[in-house]
Amino acid sequence: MTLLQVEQLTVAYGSAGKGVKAVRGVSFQLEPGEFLGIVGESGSGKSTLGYAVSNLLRPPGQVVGGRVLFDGKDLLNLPKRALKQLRWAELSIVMQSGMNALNPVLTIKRHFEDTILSHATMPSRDIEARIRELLGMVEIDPAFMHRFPHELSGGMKQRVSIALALALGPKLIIFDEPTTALDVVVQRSIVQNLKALQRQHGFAALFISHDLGTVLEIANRVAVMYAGEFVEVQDAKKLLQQPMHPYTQALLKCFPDPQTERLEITGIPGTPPDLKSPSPGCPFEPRCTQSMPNCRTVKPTFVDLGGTGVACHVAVIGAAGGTAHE
Amino acid sequence: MRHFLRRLIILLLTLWTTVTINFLIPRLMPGNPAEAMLAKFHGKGPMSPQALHSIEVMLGISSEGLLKQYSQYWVNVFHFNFGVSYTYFPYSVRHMIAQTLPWTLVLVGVTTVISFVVGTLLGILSAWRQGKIFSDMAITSLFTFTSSFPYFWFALLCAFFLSYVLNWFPLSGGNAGNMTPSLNFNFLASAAYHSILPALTILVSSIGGWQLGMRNNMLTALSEDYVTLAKARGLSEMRIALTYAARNAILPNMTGFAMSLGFIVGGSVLTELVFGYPGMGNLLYVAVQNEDFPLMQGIFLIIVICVVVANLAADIVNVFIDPRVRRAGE
Repeated sequence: MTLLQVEQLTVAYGSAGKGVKAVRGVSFQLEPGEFLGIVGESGSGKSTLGYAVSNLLRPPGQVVGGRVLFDGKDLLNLPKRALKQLRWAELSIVMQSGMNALNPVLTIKRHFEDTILSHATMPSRDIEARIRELLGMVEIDPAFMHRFPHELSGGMKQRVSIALALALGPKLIIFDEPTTALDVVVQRSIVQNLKALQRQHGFAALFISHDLGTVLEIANRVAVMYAGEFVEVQDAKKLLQQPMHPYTQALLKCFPDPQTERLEITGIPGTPPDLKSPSPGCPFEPRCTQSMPNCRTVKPTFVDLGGTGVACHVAVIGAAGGTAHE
Repeated sequence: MRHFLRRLIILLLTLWTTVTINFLIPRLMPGNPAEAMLAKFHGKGPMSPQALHSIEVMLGISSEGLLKQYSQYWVNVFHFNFGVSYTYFPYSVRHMIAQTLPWTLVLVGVTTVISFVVGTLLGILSAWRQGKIFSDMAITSLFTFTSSFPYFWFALLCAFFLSYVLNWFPLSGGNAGNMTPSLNFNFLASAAYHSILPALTILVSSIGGWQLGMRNNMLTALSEDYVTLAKARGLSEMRIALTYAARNAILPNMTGFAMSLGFIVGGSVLTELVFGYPGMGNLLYVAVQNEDFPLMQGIFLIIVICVVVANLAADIVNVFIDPRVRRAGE
């Protein structure tokens, strides 16, 4: 059974109708144990999508259309009590930079206690044993449970946040730019740690990041987001080898491939479109090197090609040609 | 520990500076209390230099060098001996302050604490229920209004309508005229009755500041990631509001509260003037009007000591409620 089903989700900031739409009709599915990466540049709506899926949007942000089905339950219309019970027990979150995700006046231990005790009753000895176990999983000395967040390094805080997310054994964890504020070495070790944990515990993950390299390393499937929409969804390996959307192709050129001699890096000229006044055509058209005449006037729809998909006139013609050729 | 030691040294330095300034200012001011006293008798014929001198001797005005006076001043400070009040001669400054201080401590002290507690709680409520008609919109607008009108105007209106026109409350004084302060029921009841109106006006004009400040801090705290995450973790609303948001939001306000505790002893000059309340504010006003240097110095010194000590208390409290300060000091 599908764990998470998102249908035509649309999120707007500001009053309904007039506000800026940050997420525009995004649909996808996530199977249990699957690791889906969502990549996009700043302002592409990827974090908003994460908040909307977990029903944590704060005004002025609001879902103006679509549904989120989690384990068959309509997450956005769940009664308060049921939602509170479901939170963390089944769906947890790791936020960007654990620094602000932990309450500065509480010890690490209190964070775990708060979390565990608001969902179950457990004797304090068992809680402490559980905290030791969880901190061990993320390679942190359990003695740190008595420390305050500001006494930990950025990487340690992020590890604590991950341990916290695992506390109740959720089915899905949403990672919102979990490694962005960290240096590359720490990033690498956290990503390795995460991969191992996911294999061990089998949770599904939604991994939101602007770093395509990290996402390709950790995710099974990758969704590329641009101007509030998914422009390409692909198997991670295939995305690296045969990117279909010109935007994905351009993104891949933005970081060096250490396997080859050639270390040429190019940026993508231009800026993302103004979401307040969307153009009638493809939102990427002004920056696209392969655009055709109808790209400017006809908005490409997302064509589902069985688990993968793309929203691009050029790529669809190419794919059709390719299939015919085979 | 080093943190406290450093704070203590700063405290002592501050005290030394303020006592010195306190000593210097009246001596640098133009005029002389004996001359001021003589001026009062001006219409009654000429006064001889001998008369001037005898007044100076009577009031203990020294003609010695500044340095000698300074060292003597320190000795007096340690004995709480500020000399004789010019205005209330032959009473000593210590006597006047001892008589006045309890009135102010009770009136301004109680209202300051109530104002802080109620204002802070309402601030938490309005921020948590931001945008709700009653618990945010109505309360916040009301307090924006009450905290912006001039205090003396509001106090005068209250005195005029509630005391003079309606006769609900006494117009002035701390208790009914024929009583001597003691711990019996009649006196306490009379004092409480006389303090209702001054207390009410202080409360109305000061709660708003605490409510607005706390609401702002709380709104900032509510937008922090750790509050969003606490919600995502399925914690109870009460726990999120108090332990996650309010606990962090109150930190900056605690300093302000400790400071205002220090200023209690200074009394509230406007309140005490409008309602003729026998407190420190009134005493200070009289001292200033009569160029009563010893009285002024005594009052100022007590205010300064209280403010400085309150500051230290604020630091200590911060160490207990904010773990980040605790470590930074070590």
